[in-house]
Amino acid sequence: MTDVERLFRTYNAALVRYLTRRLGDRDWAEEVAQETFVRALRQTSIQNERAWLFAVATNLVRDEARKDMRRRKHLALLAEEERDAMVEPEETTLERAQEAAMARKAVDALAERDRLALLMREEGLDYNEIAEALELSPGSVGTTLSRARRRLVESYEVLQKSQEEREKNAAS
Amino acid sequence: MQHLDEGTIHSWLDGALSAEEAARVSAHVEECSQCAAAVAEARGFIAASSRILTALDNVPKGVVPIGARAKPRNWAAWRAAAAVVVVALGSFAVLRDRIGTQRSVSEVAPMSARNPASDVVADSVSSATAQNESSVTREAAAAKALAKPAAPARTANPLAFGKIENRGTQGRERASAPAVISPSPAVVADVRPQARADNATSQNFGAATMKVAAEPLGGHAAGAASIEGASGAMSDALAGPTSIRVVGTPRVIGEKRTLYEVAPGDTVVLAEAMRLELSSVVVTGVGATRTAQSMDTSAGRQIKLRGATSRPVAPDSQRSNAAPSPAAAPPASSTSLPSVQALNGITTLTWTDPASGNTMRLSGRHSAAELTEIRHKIEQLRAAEAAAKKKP
Repeated sequence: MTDVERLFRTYNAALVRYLTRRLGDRDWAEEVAQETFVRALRQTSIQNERAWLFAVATNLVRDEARKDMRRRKHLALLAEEERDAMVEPEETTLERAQEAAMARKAVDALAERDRLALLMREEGLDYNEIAEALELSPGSVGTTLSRARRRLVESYEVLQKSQEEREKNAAS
Repeated sequence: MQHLDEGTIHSWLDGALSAEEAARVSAHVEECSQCAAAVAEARGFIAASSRILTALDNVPKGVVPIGARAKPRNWAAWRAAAAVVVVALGSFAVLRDRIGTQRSVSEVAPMSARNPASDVVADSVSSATAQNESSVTREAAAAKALAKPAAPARTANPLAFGKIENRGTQGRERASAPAVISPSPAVVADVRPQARADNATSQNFGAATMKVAAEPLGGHAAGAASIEGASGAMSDALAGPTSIRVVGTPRVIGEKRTLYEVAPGDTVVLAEAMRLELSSVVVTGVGATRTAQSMDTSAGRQIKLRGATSRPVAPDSQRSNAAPSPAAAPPASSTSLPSVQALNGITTLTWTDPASGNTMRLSGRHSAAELTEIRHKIEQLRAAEAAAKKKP
């Protein structure tokens, strides 16, 4: 197994989830993730793999990536394999779709840095990795995360309340 | 010590503090109720935000129109396609060289114990065999393919050498059926049957005896596969059950829905209303008998027979008691005639499954003729599944 394959198998799922949550689009997320691994191929050595991958993926989202078709195909094959092994999520109910829409809104309302730090933390990156990926000082990650979490939950609750109001009005 | 700031509390809960710092925070939280409350609140935020982020993963499903999903997800379909390519290319290559020769080549090369392509062919052919076991007089026509994939079949572009002889049919046929499930568009198997006087009566039932042998790159002997199957045509056997697969069973009340993929990215929906149809209630005698019969005959044969000339006949005792009127028969047979409906480019085929009495609706972006073909294949698949379930 080449090194990039190992990287892929280790980090692809988390990276794609991070990017999907970030972008709200699974296909786009997979594209960016693959581009990230293509970039990794060109690196001679990476110190902290996870931080590096998340940082590159984050930057790629900012500036649309150039594409490397040949390598992408191979990675697409690996992704295909992985997806075959994954269990399909349950059927989305209306309620869950509403939850997802509200979550999307709440996440989009966050400041970019807060959002990215939070999404990376959710994928298991530690404070040092987040600091490295986002070019923050390690000491400020806790503050960033606490702010992000509070704001996310608060704005979600606001959305939830207004949703309930709407349902009440619709019922009466 | 000062009260803890929110960032420190989160760092502590996230395990990002050094051991000393963590001990200090921990000690403070035990003493200070205000900070203990802040910690509780922070825990709540962490859990809630995690839950909210998880909700992002509920990307709605079912909003993508049927047929729009371009990515094939099942390797079995590709393996089957690879197998078809092997056979088609092989027959083409050899037939071009050896028109008219009658030599039966039976070089069976060793194959790897788990060659996916051969497995799939074996599966499809053997299920076809099961369905056709008692069908018709068969004439031994042979399709012998000697395949040598250059790599595992999934990624392979297999080089193949094969030979297909199809005796008993007349004239020249061009069997393009493999192209239906083949990923590469221009695979055409050239079948040149040799008409022989002594076989002239065998109609068009070209039974297929297939020997598919594959040799892995290393050439190590690990096993050999010899598949003997009998079916209407070789292409039928190959393009049959394997070309269709179930890709989902969305749950709907009162209906059983199954999504079938008939080609990569090409799906149809089969909806089965889970209730008794009026017709099977009205035609009590025949309906009951037919249901009973379908229970004990193999499902495969039942579907083979349905719609054809042979209609299940009730045993004498039942016939005299339950269905004395000859008028009872026509409605029963009419249930197997599908009605066709086209709306917004989606054609829907509706018929009553004689085995269960359920109303079946098959919809997809296809012509009525294609849907009929697909329906036939789905029924074969279902029959094969039902037969497999019965056998322990």
